[in-house]
Amino acid sequence: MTLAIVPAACFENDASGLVDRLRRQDRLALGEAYDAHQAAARRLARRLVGEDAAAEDLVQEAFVLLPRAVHNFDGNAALRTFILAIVVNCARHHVRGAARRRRLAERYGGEPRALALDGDAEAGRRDLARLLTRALDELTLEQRTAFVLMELEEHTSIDAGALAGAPEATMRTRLFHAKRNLRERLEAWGAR
Amino acid sequence: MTDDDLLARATRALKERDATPSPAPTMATRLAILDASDRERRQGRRNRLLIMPIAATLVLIATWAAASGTLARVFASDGPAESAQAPAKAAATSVAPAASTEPSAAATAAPLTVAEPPAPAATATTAPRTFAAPPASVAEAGRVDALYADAHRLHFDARDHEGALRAWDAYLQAAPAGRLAPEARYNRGLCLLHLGRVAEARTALAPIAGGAKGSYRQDEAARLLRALDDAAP
Repeated sequence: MTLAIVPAACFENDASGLVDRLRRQDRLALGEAYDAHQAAARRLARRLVGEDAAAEDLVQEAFVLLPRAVHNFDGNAALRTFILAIVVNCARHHVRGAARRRRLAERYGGEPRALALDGDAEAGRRDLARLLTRALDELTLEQRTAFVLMELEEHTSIDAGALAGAPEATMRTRLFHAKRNLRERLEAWGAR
Repeated sequence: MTDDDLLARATRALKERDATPSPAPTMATRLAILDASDRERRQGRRNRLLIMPIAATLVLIATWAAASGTLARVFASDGPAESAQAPAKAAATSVAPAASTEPSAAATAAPLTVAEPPAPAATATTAPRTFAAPPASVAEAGRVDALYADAHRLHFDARDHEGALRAWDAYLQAAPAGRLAPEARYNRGLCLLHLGRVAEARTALAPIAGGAKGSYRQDEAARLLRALDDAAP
């Protein structure tokens, strides 16, 4: 049947005519797009930049750009994928700013603490998450994006490549180097 | 515990942490986005309101320039050598051998058998730009150039000085400030000399010799007038 062969993305884009309305600078359409996709955009932004405030700025920037950027949307992917790609594209200076703030906070608060997971398991997991966030700041933006998209967001390398605008093989290579660098950092900081 | 386990645990811990939804100010962000979008739209409209009159003015100016010949003049002044040669091309293939002879030398010997000046193709390049004033349109420019070429042919090829005189007059009437008008005036003076109408030739050459029309052909006209004076009884 039709339902089985038509990609869900087509329903999403055509059912509401959202893309066409966005192209016509329809104010309501922008609100609808935000309502439908803000959660996914916010989660990705949060993982890319590592903090809520910067993630909020990033989401806002991505949706403000959407009415202009949507003219380049060819309809081959879902609108959500397109919006997430805008988030990835806009992430660079937000990531830098957030990483700089974290480094400053650490400088005044001391070096990253070694973990002691034997005691409070919950606290240990929080520390591990914090330490991984800190380690992610040490990666290049490309490696960080590959790790976030494929390991945290669990996209395939093909989808991740589409979002980051890079070939699939390149994404896999970036992920490999990202993982190696992250392990080195975690080890160096005494994570167990 | 392996390193892979450590990274996998850290990744899991980070996922769990982010899975806990933070109290995101979604409504505030939504309003901010719509507000920013409205501002952009208003700015775009304002820019269009500014740009449209400017664009319309430019289009009007361009249209006026094309219609009044200003545009043609601008393009003509970019390449005077090429454009000055254009009308003479038809005649240039059969310029009289005497064309390279200095007018003054021949005029000194016999004023009424004046040697012809060099073909305009060679001399028009030195025409001062102050004379440049092309016709109203490109079509008009073509017509005027044809008049010049016709006069040049009658004068230097057919040696029909009476016909050439009429043709030079026709050209000068059509383009009194044309870029080849100085050459046409000088040639007109030569035609008058050929026809023995010395007094009229003097009248025609005197302003050129006096520099009233610029320095182009001034020396040649002055030498011709001196030769006429010397030959006078």
